[in-house]
This record gives sequence, structure tokens and C-alpha cells, in this order.
Amino acid sequence: MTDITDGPDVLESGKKTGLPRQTIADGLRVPNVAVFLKRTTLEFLQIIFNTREPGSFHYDGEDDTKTEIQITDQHAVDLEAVQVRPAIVSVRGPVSWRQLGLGGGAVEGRFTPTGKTTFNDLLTGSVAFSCLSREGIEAEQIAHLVFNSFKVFRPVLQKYGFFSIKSLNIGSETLVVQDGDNDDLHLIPVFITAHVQDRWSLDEITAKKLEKIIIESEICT
Amino acid sequence: MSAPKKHPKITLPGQRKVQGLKKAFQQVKDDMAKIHVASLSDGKGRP
Repeated sequence: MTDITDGPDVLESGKKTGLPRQTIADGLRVPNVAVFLKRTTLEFLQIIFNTREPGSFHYDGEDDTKTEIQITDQHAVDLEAVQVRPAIVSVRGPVSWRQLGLGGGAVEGRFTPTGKTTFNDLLTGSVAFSCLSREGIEAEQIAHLVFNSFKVFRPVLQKYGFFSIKSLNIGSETLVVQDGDNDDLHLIPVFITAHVQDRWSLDEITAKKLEKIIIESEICT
Repeated sequence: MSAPKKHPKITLPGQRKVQGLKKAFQQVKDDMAKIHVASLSDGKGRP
């Protein structure tokens, strides 16, 4: 079995097929669906917030001291820095396979001479973005921007390997109380559930071996 | 002279309150798992 992660793939028949699953900034192909979900959505938000004017949640990925908002993964965040400036922190949720569409049996293409068959399927994955600020209304505004960005730029994301954005939700506000600190934080989560295409091919190795045996036996006789 | 009294931390109606960021992230994960399961089907048998 071969995972096809670098689509669009060119079948032996010459037909181009499949969605690319890649990062936005450098077009790197991402084999792991879970990593793809988190990395591409984070990159998308960083690009969106980078285009915003200074003074309006401008994101600067090159200089941490200049950025007005932190956009990062849960494991990379500096928890103390969150106290200083607003932040968007991503947390990945479950990724599920549940026989969507034709249930993994969808044959995308078959190359008869070798018996190589390419299948495709859909996986469902979730990511949450925790929008954090010391001011509740600011956290609300950031959550609104995140929610709208995914809603509005849905077709653009589909070019990078998202089959579809299945659902978007803004959660309720949570007050995060910090020990020994007067600066409480307000957290508003934005949940995103998306379908991602998964593709793989199966080769009939047994048939190839059998072919070899037949050829060898022909030489001997 | 004694230090000024701190304002009591209040929670507004409908607002949840958790102690620390780690617990807050855990709560986000729990909520996300519920939403994920709910969004797996739209009730019409289609993705």
C-alpha cells in the first residue's frame, strides 16, 4: 500500500486527479492529516492577520516583539506572553474515518497492466482556536475575525487540500483565573470541523512475482 | 499603611470560570469532542 500525499497525482493514463494537501506559505506537502489540519489552519490565520493594519491585531511572524497578536499552537505558546498581548492558540481535536461518500471503496483509477488501483476517501477532523485576551470584548472580536475568515475564505482553503469546511462554531466565553495574578483572561473558542481527502494506492505485488516465476520457468525449459 | 483591598473576582451570568490556562484548554478540547461527534452527520445520511 502507498499513501498518496503529494497530489494532484498523475495516473498512468495521464489523467490528473486528487487534491493537493499542502501548506499555504511554502507549498510543502503534508502526509499526516492531523498535522495538515493544524498547520494549514494556523498558517492561514497568520497570513490573514498579517495583512491587517498595525493597531488592528497585526501579526508579525518574524519579530515576536512587534507582533500585536500571538498565533500559535498549544504546545508552542508562551503562557506568560498571553498575559501581555492577545493570542489565538490552536488545539487539535479528533480525526475520524466513518465511511463517508463511497466508504473508502471509491476507486479513483486503475492501471490494468500492473493492477495498481488508486482509492480515495474522506476523513473528518476538528481544530479549535482559543481566542484569548485580558478584555472580554477584545476576545469576542478576535473570535469573530477567526470565524469569519474561515467562513469567507472557504473556497481558498479548498485549493490547499480541504475538501470542505463542515461546520464552524463560536463557543461561550470562559473566564480564566490565574493564581496570584490580577490579570484574568477571557477565552472564546472557535471550533472548526473539516473534511479532508485521503488517497492511497494498492499494487498487486503477488501478480508481479507470479509473472516473474512464469518467465523464469520459460527460460529453464 | 495597609495595602489597598483587591476587587473580588466576579463571574457574569452565563460565563464559565476555570482556574488556569491548562484547565481552560482541556475544557476547549472536551467541548470540541462533543461538537465533532455532533457534526459527523447532518441527519440526512450525507457528509
